Amino acid sequence: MLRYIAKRLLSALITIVVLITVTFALMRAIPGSPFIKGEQRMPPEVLQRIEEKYGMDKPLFQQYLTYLKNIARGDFGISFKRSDVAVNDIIDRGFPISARVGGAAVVVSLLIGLGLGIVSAVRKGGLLDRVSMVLATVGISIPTFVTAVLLLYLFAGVWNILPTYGLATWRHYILPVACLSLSPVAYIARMTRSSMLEVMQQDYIRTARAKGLREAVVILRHGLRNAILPVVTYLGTLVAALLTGSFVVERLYAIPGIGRYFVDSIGARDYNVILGLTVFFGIFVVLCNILVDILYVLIDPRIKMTE
Amino acid sequence: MSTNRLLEIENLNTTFHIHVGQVQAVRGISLHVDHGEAVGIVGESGSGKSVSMLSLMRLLPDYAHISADRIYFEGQDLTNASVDQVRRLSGDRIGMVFQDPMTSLNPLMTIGRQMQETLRVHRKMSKADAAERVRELLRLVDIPDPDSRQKQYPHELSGGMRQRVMIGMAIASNPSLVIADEPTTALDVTIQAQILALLKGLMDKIGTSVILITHDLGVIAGMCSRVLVMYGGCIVEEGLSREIFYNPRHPYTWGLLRSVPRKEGEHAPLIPIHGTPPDLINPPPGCPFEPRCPHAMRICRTGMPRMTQVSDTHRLRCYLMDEGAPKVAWEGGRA
Repeated sequence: MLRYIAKRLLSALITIVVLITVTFALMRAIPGSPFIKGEQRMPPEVLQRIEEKYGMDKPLFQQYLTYLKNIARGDFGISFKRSDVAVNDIIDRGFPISARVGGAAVVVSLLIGLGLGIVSAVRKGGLLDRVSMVLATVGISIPTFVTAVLLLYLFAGVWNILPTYGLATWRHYILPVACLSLSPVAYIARMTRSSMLEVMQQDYIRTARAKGLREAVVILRHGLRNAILPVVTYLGTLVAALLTGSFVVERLYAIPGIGRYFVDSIGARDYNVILGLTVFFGIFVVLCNILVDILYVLIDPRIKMTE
Repeated sequence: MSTNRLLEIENLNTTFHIHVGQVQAVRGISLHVDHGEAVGIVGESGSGKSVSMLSLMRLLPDYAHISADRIYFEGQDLTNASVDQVRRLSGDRIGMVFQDPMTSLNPLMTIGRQMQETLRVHRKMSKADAAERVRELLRLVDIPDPDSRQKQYPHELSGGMRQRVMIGMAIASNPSLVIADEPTTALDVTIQAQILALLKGLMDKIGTSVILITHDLGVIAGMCSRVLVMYGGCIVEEGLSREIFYNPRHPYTWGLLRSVPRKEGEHAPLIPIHGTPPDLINPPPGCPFEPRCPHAMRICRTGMPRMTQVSDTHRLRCYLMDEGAPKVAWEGGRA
């Protein structure tokens, strides 16, 4: 087990280095500079001084090596736009907030998604099955920015029953979490349903019933555990996507998370912030995938920990 | 009714309601099993032998409609029992062994835990007691090293081992009836014999009754005192094993016996039964075997032949048994 994890971490490291290299190259390939904004022209001497300060006068390859060295020490550098802000600070401040909202959304998605999926599969063709599958289709098709605006309009504008700004109380979480959960709930419900339908046909389900187990035990202990692998696969991407914050939701609900920095920084050519956040997200995604693979092995003893 | 009756089923019908119509999988079968008795149900695929037992155990999907005039088990009336009522008996008083041990065990659970489940549900045993009983069961079904085997997953066991586990699970709470649905079909021939010997040994040891479903007459010959021959959802002939093997009267039974490979040296050719089993969606009103029967007469198409008694234990449904029918005799020896 430990050897397996070590091996996975090593390959994760390679992935991250490749990620840094590609992002670094792509970023520098975009025309423009963080220090030139539109028609504003800086005197060449000033520009040169600034570039020296940020080490941008050095050859590109050397800049790249320096960046790698800094990252290895856990230093993502400082923002090119606001020299008093370190990228590490942005992550330290924004990530816990995004992760709290995202984490709540993951839990909600799992609970509702699995619940709907199981009931739909067990009562296939029933009213709840049909209703939840329509909801699932709706949930998958409607983009977040539509639901976010719609919920905002209804719950805050028309009925005025939920707060919309910041994260002061648990009630503040309801709308953003609902926006973030809608499509994952839909995905998980559909996935659970089809997977459960297949599993409940298996011979070992008949064996479990023949043993005289209660139907709830048959469904949860023998059915769900066998049906849950596809959901676990999806969970890896889901956790990574939700915990790293959503640009749309954080913007609309004024949540000071990490998601909106990402888009802002690209527009501003803020090289260090772009790189720093990309690498951070990258590490997070890779770790989530490793966790999912370990979960796999824990759930299904037939999956071996080789490769 | 004899007090020795363990199970009695009268006029069981099972119909599957599907898109294209109603599949009449079991059409009015009646059977009984006495205490300590081993009864074989033989027939080809689709004859309704498995479905009839799954109907009894209420293990069929929702679209199966089951009805019977009378179902009694251990003196308990199960004719109109709820699924829950049957569940309380299954695993406890009635154990089941299924055909394919590769797929009949939950792949994500250790075999020990799967075996314990039955005991914990029905016998309310503590974990430790159940584990102890499972060790005992594994020894009973001849699995060496039960302590480490308990902790293994199904994929770590061979097919024969898994079937032993299934059998151990079926007898866990000393049921009075074990229903074995093609228990050896999915196994290697050498393993088949071992599993049958094990079943037979257990029957003698714990005195349980057995219903053995199979398409293999050889399996029946070694184990069962009585045989029911099923075809097209009906019991076409039934009797003591020796009556069925030495004095079969139904053309379908003849066909079954002739299509069994014999031992080397006997050069009698294998004679298959031509044609395919009947379509049970709209079964013809007559004898289900009529389209394939070499001795079919016009009357065979008109209606189901009634049960004709040959002896106290031997009876069959065939118009050849009528007094006016041509005399056709079984010329084959024992298979």
